[in-house]
Order: sequence, then C-alpha cells, then structure tokens
Amino acid sequence: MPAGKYDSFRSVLEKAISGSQDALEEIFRLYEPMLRKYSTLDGQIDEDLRQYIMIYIAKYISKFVI
Amino acid sequence: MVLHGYQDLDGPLRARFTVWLEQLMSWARKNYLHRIRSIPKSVGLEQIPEELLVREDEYDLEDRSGDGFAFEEERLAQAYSRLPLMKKRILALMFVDQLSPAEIAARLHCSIRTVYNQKSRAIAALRKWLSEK
Repeated sequence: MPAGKYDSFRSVLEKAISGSQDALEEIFRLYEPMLRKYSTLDGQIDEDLRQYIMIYIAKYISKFVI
Repeated sequence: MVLHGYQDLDGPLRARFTVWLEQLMSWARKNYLHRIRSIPKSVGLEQIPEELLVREDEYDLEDRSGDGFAFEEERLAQAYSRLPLMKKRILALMFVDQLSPAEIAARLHCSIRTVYNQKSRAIAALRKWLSEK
C-alpha cells in the first residue's frame, strides 16, 4: 500500500465505486489472492478467466452499497 | 484474508465487501465457464476424414474461372484487408501456414482460446461484409 494514497479501506472502496481506475486497481491488489483462487483452472491461472473476472468486478462494483 | 495496510480500519465494511466480492467472483467464474463450454469445439481440416471432404473434381471448373468468382475473390480480399492485424495474422497462420491453434498461440503469445475466438470473429466479420451489397 503506497503511504498516504488512501486514508482507509472505505475511501478506496468509495473511489472504486465512483469509477476511479486507480482505486479499482488497489482493490485488485488487495484481493489478489482471491482473484488468483477464482482464476485458477486445472491448477493454473487462466489469464482469460482472470481478465473476465476483473472486467466483471469493474462492471458491477458500482452496485455495492456502502 | 489479510488486507495489508488497512487491518485496523473499517472492519465490518471490509468484511461485508469481501463476502460480496467473493460471491461476484464466483458468479463471474461460473458465467465464464458456461460461456466457454457452450462454444463448439473447432476441428482441424486434417482431422476430417478424407471421404467427407469435397473432391476437387466435384467442382465446376467453369464457374471457378468465371467473372463471378474473380469478383467474389476480390471482394474477399477487400474484406480481409479491413480486418484488424491480429485477426489477419491468425487467419494467415491458420490457413496459409497451416499452423495448429496451439502453434499460433505460442507464436503470438496468447491463449489457444484467444486464437479460436479471434478466428471465429474474423470469419463472422468476413461473412457479414461479404453479405453486404
């Protein structure tokens, strides 16, 4: 986490929900282990699946109600 | 899950978002797997039994050398030139160089699925353009 970039997880989430690409990338960084888990097919990371999940998150994160 | 840098902040919100996000990722994964499994598998020409392929002597040679054929060929060339570079390369490697999808994927540093997808989209685009008057 780059020092001073965001005050809290809430601020990252609020910015990601409001469409900030930078905050969304921070969400991806924070949830990298989960992203890796769901992107794994036959024991290997499937890059297409990973991209699909990331696009899905980018599309639907605005639906999350804080 | 440990979220580095934010452990002490907004605990309940983080927990709620984590559950929501995991559900979303699970849906995305299921959706993706459903989509790729519904795509019919492509079969290489070399895998088709010879008796099922049309023999050259079954063609009407006069038709092939006629003006109509030349016109269609020119239209195909024009349509091909409209394709994006990646799709052109995949079609050329597949149909001219006769490489397998795996070989093309290795050469273009992409997945085999991308090769299939790009090929299908390229052919669909060519069909669409050729059907336009």
